[in-house]
Amino acid sequence: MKLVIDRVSKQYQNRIAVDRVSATLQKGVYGLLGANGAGKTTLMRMLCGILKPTGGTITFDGIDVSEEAYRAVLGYLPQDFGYYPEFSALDFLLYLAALKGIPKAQAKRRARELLALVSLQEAEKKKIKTFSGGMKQRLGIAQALLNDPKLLILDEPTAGLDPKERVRFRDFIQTLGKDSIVLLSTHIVSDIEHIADEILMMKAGQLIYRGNWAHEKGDLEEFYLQQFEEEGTHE
Amino acid sequence: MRREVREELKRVFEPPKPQGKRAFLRALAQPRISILRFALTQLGYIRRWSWAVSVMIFAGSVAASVWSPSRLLGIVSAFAPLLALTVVTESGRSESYEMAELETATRFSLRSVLLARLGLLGLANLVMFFLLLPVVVWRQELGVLRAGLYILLPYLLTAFAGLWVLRRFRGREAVYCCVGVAACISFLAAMLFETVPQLYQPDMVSWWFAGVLALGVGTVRQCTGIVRDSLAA
Repeated sequence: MKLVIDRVSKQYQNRIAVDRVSATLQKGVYGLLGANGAGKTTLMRMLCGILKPTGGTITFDGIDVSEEAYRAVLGYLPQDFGYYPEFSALDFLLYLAALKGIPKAQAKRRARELLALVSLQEAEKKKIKTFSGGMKQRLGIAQALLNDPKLLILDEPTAGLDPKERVRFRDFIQTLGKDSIVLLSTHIVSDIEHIADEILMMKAGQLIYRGNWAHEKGDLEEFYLQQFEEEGTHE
Repeated sequence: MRREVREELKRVFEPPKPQGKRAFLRALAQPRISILRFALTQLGYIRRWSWAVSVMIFAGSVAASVWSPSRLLGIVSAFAPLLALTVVTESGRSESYEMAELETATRFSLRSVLLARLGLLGLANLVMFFLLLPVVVWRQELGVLRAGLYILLPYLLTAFAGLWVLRRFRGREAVYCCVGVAACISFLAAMLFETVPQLYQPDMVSWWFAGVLALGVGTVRQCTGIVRDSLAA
């Protein structure tokens, strides 16, 4: 199981959002840190096939990101996502299960399993428009797991979760990382400090640091802040 | 083994927790739905009001053919943009409700969703067209070609304009704009039928034909454009 990101770039007219990023990821949890405008979301969107790279390639076990077989093993939670207003939590999961190619009977079982996992089983028939931000985020996490993905990309997954939910989420991600490649981006250093097998740091579209963060290297948050304290970052 | 003994053993001994369940399940070939089956599942996700509009248009046209047969063509021409509106608004739904990103990252992706919606509703509208056409031909004593052109032109004009708007503007505002466009074309079609009957004379058929052809090509281009736009930017 290998995700190969080979000199991937994304350029918009006069701005380079991602600049020749290369990395090979295997099973485990990878934390992607970076300030606003560093290129994290752009990189994640390219890894999910939502944006086409201007240069470079992305492959999972040799399958290119543009192919259906790549998307079949992918689970993605965007930073922001909407919903069709008539959908309940269960309807939402069943709809996305159909898009992921999961047959209806299996989808229903899996949806109910995941709703229980994210503590939304009581709300399965409630309309999503009545959900709080945290409930919506948990539903988003559930949909990312529908197809038991080998590659899980989570963009700011803990936004809106309360501290107890964040701890549960961290434990859960650690379990997932044993059998899948999990890449999660966050501003909250403590979310990944203890669970990430590797930290990747982005600044101005480039990967400036990659490695295991051991405690003897000092405080990760301090190191992270040092990288960004002078830069006038922009959105 | 006797059933009571078996039940008692089950009660007394707790089975061991499964080891490597996830890896085992992953190794099995999982059943997947085909693209045709996927397209058919999309039928259930097309909004009810889209079908309700089609049914109401059909019912209204049939009622008009009985109670106001001389105005039937004007009424059907005025209804045609509303049919086109159902196709346009369904194709813009993913963007306007911010579901496009989630849908793009799935196996079938946004492109398949759009093709399914456009295909299913387009087919439904085609059926509606072939149901209404003979009624108009009979009641208005028009040839099939003329009747077809008078209904198709407002339909295609709405489809073309609506899809053009969706490709250039984002969000719910784009959809409201499409509704406005459809309402204007519908009103225009009704007014022209009442106030400019010269437009509906046989010597004007070549203009109608040219208009339908141009708008047909334009609509197909907008459809392929909207599907192309759904691919990775």
